[in-house]
Amino acid sequence: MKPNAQPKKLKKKRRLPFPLVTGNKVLRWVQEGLNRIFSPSLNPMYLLGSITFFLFFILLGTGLYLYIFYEMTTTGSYESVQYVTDQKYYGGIIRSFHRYAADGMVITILLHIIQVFFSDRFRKNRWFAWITGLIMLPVLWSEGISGYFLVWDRKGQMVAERLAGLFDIFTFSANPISRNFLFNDDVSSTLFFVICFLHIAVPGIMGLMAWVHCMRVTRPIINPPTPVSWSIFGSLIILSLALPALSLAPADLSKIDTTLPIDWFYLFVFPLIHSTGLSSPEVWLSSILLLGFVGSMPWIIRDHKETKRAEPPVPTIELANCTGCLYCYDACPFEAVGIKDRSDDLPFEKEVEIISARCARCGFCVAACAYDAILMGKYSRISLDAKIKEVIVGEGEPGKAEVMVFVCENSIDVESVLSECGHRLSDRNDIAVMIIPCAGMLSRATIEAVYAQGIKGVAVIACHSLDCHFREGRRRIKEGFNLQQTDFLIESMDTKKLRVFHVSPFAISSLMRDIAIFAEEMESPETES
Amino acid sequence: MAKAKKLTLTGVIVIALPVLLIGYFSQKPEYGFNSPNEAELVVSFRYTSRKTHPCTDEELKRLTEERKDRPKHMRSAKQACGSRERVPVNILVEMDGKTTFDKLIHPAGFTNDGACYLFKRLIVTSGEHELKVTLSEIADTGKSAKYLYEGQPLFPTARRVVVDFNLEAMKLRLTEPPQ
Repeated sequence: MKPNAQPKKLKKKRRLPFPLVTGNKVLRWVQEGLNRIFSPSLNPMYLLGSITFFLFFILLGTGLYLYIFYEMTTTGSYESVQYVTDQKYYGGIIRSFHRYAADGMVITILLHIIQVFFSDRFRKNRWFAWITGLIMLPVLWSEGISGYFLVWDRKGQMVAERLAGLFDIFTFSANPISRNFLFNDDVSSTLFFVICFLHIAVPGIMGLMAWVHCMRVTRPIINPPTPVSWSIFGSLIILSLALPALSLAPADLSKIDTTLPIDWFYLFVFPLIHSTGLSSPEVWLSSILLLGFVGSMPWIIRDHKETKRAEPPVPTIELANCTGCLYCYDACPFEAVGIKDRSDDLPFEKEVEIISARCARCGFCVAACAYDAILMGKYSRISLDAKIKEVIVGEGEPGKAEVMVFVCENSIDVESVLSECGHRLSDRNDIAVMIIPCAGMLSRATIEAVYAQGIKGVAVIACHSLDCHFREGRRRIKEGFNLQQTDFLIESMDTKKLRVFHVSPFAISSLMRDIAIFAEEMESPETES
Repeated sequence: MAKAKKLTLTGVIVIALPVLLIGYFSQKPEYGFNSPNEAELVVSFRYTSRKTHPCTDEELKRLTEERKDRPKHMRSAKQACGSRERVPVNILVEMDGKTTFDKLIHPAGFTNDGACYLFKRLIVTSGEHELKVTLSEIADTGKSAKYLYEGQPLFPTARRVVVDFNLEAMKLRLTEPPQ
């Protein structure tokens, strides 16, 4: 049999909302390019959250060192920073490292936001992480700004004066904050104590917020892989040596800002306000409106009606079948399975409940349950088995399939690989195709059900490990096909007849070739014997 | 299925690229907030204007009489005498004969019983300028000039000249930057 020649078009099962389509294509193209360089498991685009954590930890460590030598007075602040930079051990490198790690955090956070947005991972059950993440942005900004203030050089003076100008409106008609910066003698040492305290307290708040940010995520990835960490660490050290962060001249309130070197990652607002001529109220109003607009994105961007209709329901618990084994609790990647005391007379201690607001409808819990105690409409175990049978027999197709392919709808653009009826690979009547929301929702029992239909081989097409739309698809595949709790139900599974392809969305032609080869292997008499 | 976690040299270079961006954009491009031939005049003050209805001897006497039975710390009649509200002030800055800033400032507080505050930056070209700053309390009958600074100060390049209200001397004072 020849591999597919010209795939016929069929409507997509899952469509992205219109505003995300182009951005998603660009994002996937970039990710794919980086996959080729790094391999998917080391691709920094999949690790932006954990790289941000890594930079945050660098900031904590270097900040602690700098704090030891910092003097919280008007005259001493500049001198103490200079002392650390010039004289104290590796102070200059550590100071530069501190600054560049802070700048790096801005880059990773912005990329993280872009990635989450265009891969449609900010809506529905993920709104909470989106909102808490956005709240952290102004907190991070204030942290960066206060760091510049503490140096109390000309740049720190610019920050202090212009920031005071922004905050003047909050004093209403009372004493403007800017009056504290009229003369050099007006600047109080207490102010440095307060700013230094904030600069130390805010990371604590940020750590707390980061914890809240990850609250609805099971097993968040905090540490990036070692090669990535070391590369970032080394690059920042080299940068610190090559281009050390230095202070400008000490602050002098009798002088005005002329031309200053700007850290565009944090201080961009001041040139922006200066060049646009926005007044303080306009700046605050536009910032609030912008944050409010971005924050309301999860509710502004909506699914197509068709996508919404096709969406699986939130799973329900069939309590009579639940043994309280908690495998579903362990399988859920979004903390959407709750545990409570048994409410019926069955002799088990616990039962579970699905927290619908957190549920991503990935079906991992359904796959993890060996007792059919979790139902999810057409993706319930029994319904799935019936659907598999229907697909294999192939109503409207010329004949029964010999190889079954499960396609994760987020992995590749499925429209290009299906036949007219949607149950076969285009031009391959022997290869049945079934599209599922995530490859992780497959269990051994489901695979066994496929084998029971006389299928000679099963291929599963899934996303790259760190790019799973439901986070832990790969983990589920690994555990789902080898899970201990199902071993007593299914004595043995022929894993030679099963192959998982973690694919790139751009590699459809090579994937089709691989599947054709796999089908040939499975259908050959040698394999059958 | 799982590949060995090994970073290629290209990978290290790709990670280093954003670091180069950090190195550049943390310093450059520089931004010019003011032109090289500019200086700044800051007009700033804290000034407590008079009450809209001043305290009269009769009212003070009456209030003192009324309050004599109160606890000691509540007897003071001076503060309660006259209206609580204070009059607004007007600040007028004229440079080389032209009005560059003119603003009516209301006293702080919900009942306008606080002081009047101002902090205003004005960008000027460096050099000598004729400067006239007038602070007036707004009486019922209109403006009545009260405090005036007039002079020909030098505005050195990229320096700040401050006109503020000296509470001790009760007059507008100009402070030139140190040489």
